[in-house]
Amino acid sequence: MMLLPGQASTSRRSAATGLFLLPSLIVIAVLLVGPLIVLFLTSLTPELAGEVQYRPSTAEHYERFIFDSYFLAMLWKTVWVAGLGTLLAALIAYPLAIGIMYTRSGWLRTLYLFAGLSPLLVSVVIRTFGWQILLGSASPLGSLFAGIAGSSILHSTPAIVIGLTHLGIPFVLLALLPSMNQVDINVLKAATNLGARPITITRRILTPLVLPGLTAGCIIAFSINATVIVTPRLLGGRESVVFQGVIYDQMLWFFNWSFASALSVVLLAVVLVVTGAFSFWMRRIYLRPERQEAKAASRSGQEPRGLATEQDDVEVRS
Amino acid sequence: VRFGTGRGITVANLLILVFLLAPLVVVVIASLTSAGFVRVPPSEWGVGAYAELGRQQAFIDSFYLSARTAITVSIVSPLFGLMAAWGLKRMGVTSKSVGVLEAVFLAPLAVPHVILGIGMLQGTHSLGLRPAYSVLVSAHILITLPYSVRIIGAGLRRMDPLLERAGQILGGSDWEVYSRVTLPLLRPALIAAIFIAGSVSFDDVGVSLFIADASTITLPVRIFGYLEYQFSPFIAAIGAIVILFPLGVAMIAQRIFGLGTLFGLNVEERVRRGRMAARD
Repeated sequence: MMLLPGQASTSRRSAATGLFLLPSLIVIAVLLVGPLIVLFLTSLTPELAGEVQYRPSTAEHYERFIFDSYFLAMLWKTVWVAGLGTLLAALIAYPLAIGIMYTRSGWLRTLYLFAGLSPLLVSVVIRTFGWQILLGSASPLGSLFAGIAGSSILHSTPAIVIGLTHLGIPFVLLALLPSMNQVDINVLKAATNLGARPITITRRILTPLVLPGLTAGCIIAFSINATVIVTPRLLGGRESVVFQGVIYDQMLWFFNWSFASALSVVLLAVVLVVTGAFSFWMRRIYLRPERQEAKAASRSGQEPRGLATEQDDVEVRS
Repeated sequence: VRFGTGRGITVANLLILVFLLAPLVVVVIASLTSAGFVRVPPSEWGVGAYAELGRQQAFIDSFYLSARTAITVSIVSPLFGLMAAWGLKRMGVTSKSVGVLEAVFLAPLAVPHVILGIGMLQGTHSLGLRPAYSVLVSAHILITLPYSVRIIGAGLRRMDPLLERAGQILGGSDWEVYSRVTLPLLRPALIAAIFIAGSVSFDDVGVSLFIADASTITLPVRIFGYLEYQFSPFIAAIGAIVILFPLGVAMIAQRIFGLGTLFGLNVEERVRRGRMAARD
């Protein structure tokens, strides 16, 4: 008898499958889980400049963070700067994604896709260097800004926000495009034929359908914006420091490894709480109409009609 | 007017294009100077910055280190990714643990690089070791693994399962089917994974910044250290090189299999399908 996929002897198959997964699982256990545990333990250890000893015995570093308003102020600044950068990135990535999906011109699509994703292929250091040149006195644009504002825009908080916006766009795009790809174009055509304006279609039809992707993109962009070191460091300089910069200094300049670890744990916790709360809130928004619809449908005994699914994709294909 | 094709959105998108590409274009322009300072447009056009770059031995060494790391990582990471994606596929879609494992393989993306970098530096020290080349390569394998698993996994899913089945029915052994049907069909995904892993490794600064020892300062880390205090046209020359090289590769990729594939998207595929459907 011929063995077809899924019919081979189960135990041999699963052993082989385990072997296939093993290298990646080892990499994750040793290089991801391990360092996270070390980081947490270090944050509970007395300071030993550059040395690492694991006798978790103190919460002094967390106390120092809580009772020094400077660190709390820096943390708040990181949250709002990263949040603003993420919001702007989403506002810019959204029309670009619409352009990529729905433009009729092939070369425009290529150009949009290229501009949207290619920054990912260039190191963030170089991209930030570009902004340093653009916003500094070396370029006409920077001089113009300086003339209007009275002082250079480089080495200021607005410069950081611009840099973070630019940094976040490709990540929002990467999460948004697959989501938009699932939307049945006939729905949009129907709305157009019924006389809806593009802005109405975007607001009432497209946005609810792509909200999961948009949410995911914003979460990724925020996590990166709130933790990236290079961009705020080069664009904010000494004049505008954010929380990541404080961690960087504590770690590599003052060699306060335990305190830097405690601050890192705090930052990680804050990022998780903010993105978790955002995700929860968005989920409530985009699940609400669907839930009501499902409830109404079950009352009238009909099949609930949900978001665009694989099914629609298959229909397009055939 | 069809949705998304109006003049308003096209104008908006062209402005967005300018915003996205401006910092890259500016670096390339700033590199074409013979003056000793950065100015856009250059006060003195020339290639002096590139000649100056040739004299910066520390940056050249860092470039070789980054290139060596990227090449190693772009072999190992897609290999692990291929094994993992293939393992997940063998487990079948019905298995509950597949979802969990997929999340585990994507986890390195979710942990901020600062955290990873600090944890790895402390972990290395706690084992009584010092940061070294092997630590750098291991760290880069970790941060590129999610991309490899995702891109190759998407390639496997997109493949027509009937082709593998046909190979088996025609009498191919597991290995024959794998090497003569599956792998050749996976080639675009594999190329994309190799390119992305190499690119992410070469560009990384978040993790490398912390695990850099005197002998393992990668190019982005060295540039970052320099830019914190100084500003020089030869940095723009490096920038121009590391911008134009991957963009060139991306353009070739676009010609061969679509830029979206590089990032595990299938936007172009859908557009192609749509066009075919319109013709029918």
